[in-house]
Amino acid sequence: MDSIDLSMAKKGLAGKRRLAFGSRVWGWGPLRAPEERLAWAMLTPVLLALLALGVYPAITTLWLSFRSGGTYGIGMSMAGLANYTRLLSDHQFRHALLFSLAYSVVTVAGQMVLGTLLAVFANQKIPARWLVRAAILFPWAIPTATNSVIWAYMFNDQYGLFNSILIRLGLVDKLHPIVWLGSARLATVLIFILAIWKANSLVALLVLAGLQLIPNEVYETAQVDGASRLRTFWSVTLPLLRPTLVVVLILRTIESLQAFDLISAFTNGAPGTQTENLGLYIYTQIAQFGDFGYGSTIATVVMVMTLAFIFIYLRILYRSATA
Amino acid sequence: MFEPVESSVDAANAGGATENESSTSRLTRRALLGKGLALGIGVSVGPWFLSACGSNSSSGSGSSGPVTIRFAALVDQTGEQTNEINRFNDANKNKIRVEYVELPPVATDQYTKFVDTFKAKSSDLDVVQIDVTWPAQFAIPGWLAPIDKYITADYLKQFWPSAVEVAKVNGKQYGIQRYMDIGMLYYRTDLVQKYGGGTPPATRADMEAMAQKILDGEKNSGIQYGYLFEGKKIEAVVDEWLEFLWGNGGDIGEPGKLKVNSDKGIEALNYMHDLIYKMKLSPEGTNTYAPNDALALFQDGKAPFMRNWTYAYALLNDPSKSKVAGKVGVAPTLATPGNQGHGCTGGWVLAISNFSKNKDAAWKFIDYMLSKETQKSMSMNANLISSRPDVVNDPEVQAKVAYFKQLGTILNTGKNRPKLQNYNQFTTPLQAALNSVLSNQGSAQDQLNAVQEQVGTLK
Repeated sequence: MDSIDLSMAKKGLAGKRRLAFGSRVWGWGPLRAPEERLAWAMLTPVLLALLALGVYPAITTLWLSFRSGGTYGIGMSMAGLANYTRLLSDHQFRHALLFSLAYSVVTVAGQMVLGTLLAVFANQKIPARWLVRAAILFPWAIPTATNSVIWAYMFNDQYGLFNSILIRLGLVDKLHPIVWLGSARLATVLIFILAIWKANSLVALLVLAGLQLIPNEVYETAQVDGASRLRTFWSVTLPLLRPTLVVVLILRTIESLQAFDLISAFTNGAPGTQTENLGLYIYTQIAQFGDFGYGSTIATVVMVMTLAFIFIYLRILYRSATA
Repeated sequence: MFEPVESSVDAANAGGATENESSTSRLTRRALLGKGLALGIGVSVGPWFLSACGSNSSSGSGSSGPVTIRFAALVDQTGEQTNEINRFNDANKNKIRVEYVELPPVATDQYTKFVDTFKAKSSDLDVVQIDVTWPAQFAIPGWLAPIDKYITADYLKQFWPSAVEVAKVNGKQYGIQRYMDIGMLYYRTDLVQKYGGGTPPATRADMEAMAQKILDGEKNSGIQYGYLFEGKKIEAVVDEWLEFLWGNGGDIGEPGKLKVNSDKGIEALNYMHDLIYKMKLSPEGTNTYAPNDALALFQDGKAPFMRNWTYAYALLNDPSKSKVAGKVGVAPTLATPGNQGHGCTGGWVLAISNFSKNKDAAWKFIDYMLSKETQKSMSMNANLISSRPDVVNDPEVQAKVAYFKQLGTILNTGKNRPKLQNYNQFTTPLQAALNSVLSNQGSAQDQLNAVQEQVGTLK
């Protein structure tokens, strides 16, 4: 967002155009030289950090994907495209890729829908609204790995909470309790639910911020025009939320493609490798096998996939926004 | 692209008039930003300077205080380890102070932690307690310090040969086992007495028959299953598969020529699968059980037989935790007629990180942990199997830990896992394959054939 601010300001458009985000706070006029210098001075530390922690590792990963051999990065040699050709015949990679995509599509869709609904709910003028907003944040406040371990224990077949309840209700036989994490299908569903449940909070929080920017007059106008609540939501609120939703969508997609700790602490890819996603597979290659070359290749694929998603989002959503 | 919704109010400000123009004494935006920048830099850089100064002074050697040795090991649920460390610290007050660093309970997680520390060349750990499959992996990249200069041939003679051999890599000694471990068959002495005449089963068929009788006869006293084992996607499942394979007279070959998809290998995996799904002697959740899960069920009196590591013995005989205290016996793992049961050996090796700044002090601590007194205390209080024959065969120790008498046979028939440069490349695909079959995700033949492609040439 900042780079968009700067470039537009530099083009001298700042007077006419204003960004909806923060426009009341940072109304850019045409920048004068001292302000511009200050702006660059403020940005330099962040840029350096981004270069060191973001750009450098990404370039190193790309570089390593063209090397192979050695152990834990020691003693590698150039290998051209050998790692990439290896990907093509790797069944485990194919399965992890499909699982990652499924995970991404399902959990991002789920959290966007539910998170937005939660945000709209938390935006209503109800008593103890602050309590609702605090409660929404709760799943996010618990660290992911802790969450996963707690859930894994809740779904333990012998001593878990869920089977306990089901047994007491008579729905499950004590001698044949449901093995939640032992079934590929059940484990996958649970992973999706856990991911959506946890991320709802963040989506709700960000969308809530976006909702704050919509002035009341808009709703009143819609009401005066006779729009039902549902119609208002669909035709007025959502379009106004579009910038927020696009940002949230991009952030959540990036994170879902990189998911690791949630699945690792929950099933670690079991049963077999049925719940293994690309993040876990990269970890196996790099941390367990010490094969930096091949692991970096898979990581590069994830990077390209992420960029592709973002590109598609921006094309589709920006084009229709300016139409 | 972000068309604003606001109207006239903002348009009035379109000329770009900023609050900065004001020259009154109130805090201008620029001043705030400038001060904030200075504060931010100060806060982030300041502590770094302070800590750099601080660490320089504390890492000085000599008379400035006790040398701190950080000892990384898995947690000891009996409290004995803490006592040993405290005794050492008391005896070496003002000279050496040992700090315990707790490791995660599962071997694969410990491995990751060690690799991260070694790769960073961190001096954060001095004495490391590593699994028996790791010496080659850590010694070859130069992450462990050889201990040859501290030991003599006579010194090494005090330990079981395998306890020393396991940490010898390329002719150099990198550590010694602190305690031995081996897979064993645990059984309920009372039930085996009632239904089996008092002798634990030696073959698979014996176990199946006895377990079925016990299941039929003891349903009302809590017995729900026949045979408990670990089927989770962890190292233990590979070790159990090896035990079934070895107990049937099979083998996986030598490094460089490993073979996991032999007929006996496939048969062993099918047997584990059938225990759950055909014979229904093992719970359906077995494919999610780690050693602690199987232990919890046995401890609650839900099964007469269990395969587990030696650590379980002390816990099972603790009346405050276990419902079956005093009714537990151990035997070699199951075999087939004409063959012998071979437990998979395990255990932990004490080694010194090559990046430690206090290697001599580290050895002093290791020497203490390997001494007869400490090993005897460890065996008697934590029921762990000492790496010293003189302790395991000590009558006083055997009086306290009765099963040490049977250990002679079990330890003598134990077999080691292959010593590979990257053991993970062998065990990780195998764990996934075994867990897959135990979860009904594939056939033993297909899964093991796939693993063979990956491990056939590992050295």
